[in-house]
Amino acid sequence: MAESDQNKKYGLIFDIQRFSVHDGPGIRTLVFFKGCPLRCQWCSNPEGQLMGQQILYNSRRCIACNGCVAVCHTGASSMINGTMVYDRKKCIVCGKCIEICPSGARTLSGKWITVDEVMDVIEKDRVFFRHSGGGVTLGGGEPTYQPEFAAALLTECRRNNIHTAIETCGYADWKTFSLLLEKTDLVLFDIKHIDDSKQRQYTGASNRIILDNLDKLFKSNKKIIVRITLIPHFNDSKEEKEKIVNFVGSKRKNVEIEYLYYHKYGLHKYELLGGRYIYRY
Amino acid sequence: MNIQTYQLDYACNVTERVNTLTDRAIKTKPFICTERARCITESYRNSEGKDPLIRKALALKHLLENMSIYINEDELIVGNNSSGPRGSVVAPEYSANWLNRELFDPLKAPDKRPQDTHIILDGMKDFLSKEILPYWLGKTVEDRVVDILPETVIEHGVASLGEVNTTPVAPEVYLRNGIGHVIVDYEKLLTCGFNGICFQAEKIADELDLTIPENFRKKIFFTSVIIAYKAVQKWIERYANLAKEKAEHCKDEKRAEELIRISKDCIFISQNPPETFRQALQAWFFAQLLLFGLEQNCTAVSPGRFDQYMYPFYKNDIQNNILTKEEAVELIECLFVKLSEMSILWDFDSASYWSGFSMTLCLIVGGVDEDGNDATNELSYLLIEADKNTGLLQPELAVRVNNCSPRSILFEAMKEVRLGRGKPKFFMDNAAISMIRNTDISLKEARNYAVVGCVELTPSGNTAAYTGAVFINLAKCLELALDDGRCFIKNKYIGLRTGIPDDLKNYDDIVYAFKQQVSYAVKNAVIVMNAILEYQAKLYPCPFTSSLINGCMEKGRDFTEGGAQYNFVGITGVGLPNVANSLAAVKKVVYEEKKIELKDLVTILQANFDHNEEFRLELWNNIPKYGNDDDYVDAIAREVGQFYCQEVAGFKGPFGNRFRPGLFAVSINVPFGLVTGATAEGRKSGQPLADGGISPAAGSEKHGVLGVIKSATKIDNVLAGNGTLLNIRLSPSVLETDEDIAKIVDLIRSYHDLGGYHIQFNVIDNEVLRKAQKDPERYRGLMVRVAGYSAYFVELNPEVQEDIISRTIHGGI
Repeated sequence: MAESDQNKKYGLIFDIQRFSVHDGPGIRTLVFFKGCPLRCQWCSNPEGQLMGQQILYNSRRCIACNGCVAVCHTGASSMINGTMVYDRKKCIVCGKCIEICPSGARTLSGKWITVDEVMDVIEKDRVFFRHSGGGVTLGGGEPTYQPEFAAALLTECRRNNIHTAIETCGYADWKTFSLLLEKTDLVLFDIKHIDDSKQRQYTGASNRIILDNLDKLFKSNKKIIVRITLIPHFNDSKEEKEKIVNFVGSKRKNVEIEYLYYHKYGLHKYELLGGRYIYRY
Repeated sequence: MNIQTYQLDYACNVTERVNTLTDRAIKTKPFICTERARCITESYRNSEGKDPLIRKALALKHLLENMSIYINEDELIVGNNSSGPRGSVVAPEYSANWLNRELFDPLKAPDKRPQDTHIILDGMKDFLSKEILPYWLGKTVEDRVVDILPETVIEHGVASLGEVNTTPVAPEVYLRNGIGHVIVDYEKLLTCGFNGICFQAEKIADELDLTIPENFRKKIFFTSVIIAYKAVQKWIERYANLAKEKAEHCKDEKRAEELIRISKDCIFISQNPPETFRQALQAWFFAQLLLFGLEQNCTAVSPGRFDQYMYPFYKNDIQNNILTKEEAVELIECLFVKLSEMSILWDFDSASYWSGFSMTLCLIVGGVDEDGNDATNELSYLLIEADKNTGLLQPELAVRVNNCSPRSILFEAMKEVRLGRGKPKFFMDNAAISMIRNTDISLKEARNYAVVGCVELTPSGNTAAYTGAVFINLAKCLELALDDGRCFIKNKYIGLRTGIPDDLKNYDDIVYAFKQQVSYAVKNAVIVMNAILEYQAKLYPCPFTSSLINGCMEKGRDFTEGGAQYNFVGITGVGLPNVANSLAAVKKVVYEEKKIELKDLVTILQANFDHNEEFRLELWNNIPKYGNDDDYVDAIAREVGQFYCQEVAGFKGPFGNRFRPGLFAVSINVPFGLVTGATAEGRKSGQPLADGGISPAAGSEKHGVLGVIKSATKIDNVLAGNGTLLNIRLSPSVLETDEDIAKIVDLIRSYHDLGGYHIQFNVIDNEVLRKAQKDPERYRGLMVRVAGYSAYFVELNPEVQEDIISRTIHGGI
């Protein structure tokens, strides 16, 4: 395909965060991809899990103006005893209620945008990359979930001399993985747990592919930072940490390991999605 | 891992002495001291009929002879301008009118009002109202200005004196106070000494050819300077004697030695230029007390490039092994304590504009020298260290940034920022030098710039800057443009009659009406300021201050009469982001989308969105907002800013003063917000305007700190010679590690490249601020950045506290 066609590719992105200091070198612009194969119970970006547009509904901001009820064709939005009731089962995410909502109680998570459109935003931040040695980090969700779009975006960044990183859970087939690997300057690779049953119980997916990918990754000469989010009572004990560190150490010497800390900043987003935060410890 | 502020846990590495001194400075509450009022009044009563210059000099002399002086335990740097730490002097010659109005007012009295509350001892109010004020009423600058100006100018040009107090022009500061806002030639003071400058005045006065008519004015000027300096030398001797006396009664041998050294140093500098670092600091501080508090009472008498002019003394002492680095730091810390123990008494209105008792003594380090080479030196670092250690209100530490600034100085500065006290602030050399060159200042002088007060640029040592002269409420100007000059709140006509909504057929008509309102406000500001300048010169010249501003001694003319080499007046616009947002909203909903007619929109705004919350939210959420790197609205901000600046820069004052535009808000965005009706951006009536000056309206930025910086650098900073101000709040989590700090340093460098001028940071979580509101005693030392200055959070009035809490926090998780 010609380059220009690549740049007209659409990806489903739920945020572009224009100031990040903790996701790779320098000051970075973070592109959040929608869709993730994992369902980690503590996920702080739950709106990134589903590969499809979603409506975030904040009942506290709703002023019960009835605007959404008037435009809703499916009956998903209705007014019962002066209270707005939003039934997700009936909703087809047509987005009409978002256009009409004045208070910002409803927002759309996920926009289909082209590589060029993402590049326009990134280009605005270039001046901040220069002194800091920063660049672009693809995160999510999971960038490997939309591999073609991710590859096109990485290619375009490279063509424009912008440093790139991908932040991944590692759960993807190797072919996809290696495609992105070629095009990125840095991989931030998450490891949750060494024990497969625990991993499956808490994230909904096996870690065999993940660890296998990491193994293969180490055989390349790519710059890798392993990231471990320390989740209380899941992997934050000394033994669990050591297991991960030993595993990594057995594959490649002197790998940079970054610890991230558990937080609950994403808690309110479960409410906006009509879901429930289930991780308890 | 739940960092809310680094400030509270910071273990500073200071000596026990400094610990005691800083502790006392933090715990002492401001009070009113009437000594100056008494002495000045006694002298003026006895000098009637004499020349104003001579009267001022005699009053200073009488004050210096009769004021009480003290030396507190543990002090290494001594001197005072009031009877105790954090005493605010009263200057009735400037302030009699407002004191008369407010002293017994149940809501506005300095001991009753919510902002900048002072302790007033029993009997003091009666003393002032019976013994002092009656003499001055009718003799102040305010009296004369009100007497001479037409009623409409007062009504539309002095917010606090008009019948309708919502007018967009606020020139109160110099109407009711001295002038301050200056960086004198400290280098000259330290090189010549008090005796040397006095000798210079005597010599010139002796040699004047009095057959030449204009020399007679000069003779009067130099005579006043000589009276002042002789009195100053005697005053310093008083400290020498006091120290000696204390030493004789001191049982602690070590302290006695210190007191003897203080005594000797004071004697020495009363008769010679200082030789050692210690003497230089002491002489410098005496000058500071005279400049603020004794001769006049307005703030922002700024130290300027302290690391440059003090360095020779430091270097010399270190080379001669008579000073260690540790001793130097302790001395600087002792000096900073003394600066923080000065206090200011504003009138009710000014106290809400400049909330927080800040003296805004801007001390700036780093930057280039006159030849363009980086001039950072060891002292620059020590000053940062001392400020970090003491954690006090003063000085207002600032760092100059340029392409050759060593990374280490920015790194050290950022480590101080991390503590969350809002200090230091950063100034970008590239923009600053272009801004200052926009007037007729040479490149060498421009490179030697420093900052007065919050963000106001001036050359060093040769400028009467008057930077805090007038604030103009730009959001109010837009309000007036929407309905033929009528105030939404008071329903009265207080602006030009620029047309009712039906007359404004398209967007350009609105912009035109707005510009006319701005021009009218600026014109009123200029008229009022010209009157103020005229009467400041006629009534209360400042011979001591003038002797230290280059140009005055050469011309033999007081600075209030235009003696300085450069003379400016700062007229500062407030609320530019609100205007840009609101114009964008009108443009979009009325003229592009045609969703509503202008007259209906105006009716909704006048009713403060009553029953129209939906529409308000739509405006607030769905119209482009300044601060998000969106050209639709940023271009409007740029154009409005340019217009405002060009309008101000067109005027000249009575002594050749050039009017200089600024775009910053101090804390005036809060009181200005109170008198501004609902705005089309979706802001409700009475809510604060955007803080900072070019910071986005609270809660309107959605694209993080980079979006804010991009928008802010689209403002044509170069035109705003009186300064622009950008506040950023960062989450403490963004500054956890050294690596994080390095990234924020790079952010500042990028800001420099983009043409930004000033930036400062608050790094503190709201949770801590809420706790401080609930338990003020425990959080007395908690400091935050208000505007171009920092203040103790618990000493701010509740509205300003809320304004700070509402500012958006930027952080990556």
